[in-house]
Amino acid sequence: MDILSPSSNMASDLSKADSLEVRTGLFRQITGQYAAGLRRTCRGYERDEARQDELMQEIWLALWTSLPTFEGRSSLKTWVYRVAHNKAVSHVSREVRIPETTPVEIDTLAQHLQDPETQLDRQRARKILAELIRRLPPVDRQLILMHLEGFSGKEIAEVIGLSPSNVTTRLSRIRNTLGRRENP
Amino acid sequence: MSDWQDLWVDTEIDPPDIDIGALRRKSEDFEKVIQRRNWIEVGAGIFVMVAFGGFAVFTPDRVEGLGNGLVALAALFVTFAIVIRGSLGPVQADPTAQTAAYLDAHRAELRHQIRLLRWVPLWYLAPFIPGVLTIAFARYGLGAMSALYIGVFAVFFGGLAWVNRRGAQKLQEQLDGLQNGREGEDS
Repeated sequence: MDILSPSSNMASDLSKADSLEVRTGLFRQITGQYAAGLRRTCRGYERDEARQDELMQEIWLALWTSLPTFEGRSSLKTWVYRVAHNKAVSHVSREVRIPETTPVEIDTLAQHLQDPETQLDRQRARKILAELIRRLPPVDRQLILMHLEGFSGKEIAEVIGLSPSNVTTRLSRIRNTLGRRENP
Repeated sequence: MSDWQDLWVDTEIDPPDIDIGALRRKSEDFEKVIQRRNWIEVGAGIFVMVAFGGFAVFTPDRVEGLGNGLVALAALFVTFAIVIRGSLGPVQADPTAQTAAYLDAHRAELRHQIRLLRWVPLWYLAPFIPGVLTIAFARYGLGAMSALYIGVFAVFFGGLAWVNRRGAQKLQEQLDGLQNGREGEDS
């Protein structure tokens, strides 16, 4: 049985009864399937590692607490990311932002993307990309993070509550913003 | 854009070590904290009502009794206002809502909390002033002692107002953070 399918028995069972066993099973599926993506999402919102951990814990708690309300009307994946992004937006808004003192090496990142083997180690490139993403306004940040995680425009629209065409337009604009140095 | 995607997802992530039992306890503790906070807010109001109501009935001096009665009425008003207008506690929007709706709800709740906190001197503290003044003048008359009595309350009320104003400022910063990039939701 595909437990992650919206029409799965487990999802509908969960909506009918808050069974601890079913809830635990579904939660384990979520952690197994989406932990890496959610961790990356935290990196897209918080620079500091301790704050990322704190956000991750908040997301797990919110997912656990909200699971009984999951009715399978959307896919579990979009539901999980909706909760995660909502918690993340709240989390970053609670902290006073410290302006970035190190200049973002966007030119270096662009060079790396053109020639990944020679220019820059990937870990450093990822850090720069994450920093660029964190500088975006909340909705743009969510759009690009979901796009990078492989969500379709329709799925992103469903999570955020925008029209699919609006998502496409905005993604195109963000691509231009982030990638304008990529192809000078 | 696939370069960006490849770069982004190509990250080694340690498998999460999640203790579901601990998560459950944390969730239950959180609910208990909310319930306890609500009970404290209402319970404190009821305590003041009962205590000062008792003083109002049993104090031999009629004017001082009136002052105690006014304090009890103020506590009734404030408790009623808290129940009707909502708690002063942290903001809770439904995290399972679509982000645009979640943000709208979150902002609306923040604005509501900011209004409540900013106007604490008017709806939370001011109702107690007639009772406090009446008690002071009934007990000490016009003089240094009544000035001291009123001064102590003024410092206490001023402190409460300041703390709530600071709270409102922090929430305003949160709201400002959520307002940034708002054009993304509206278009």
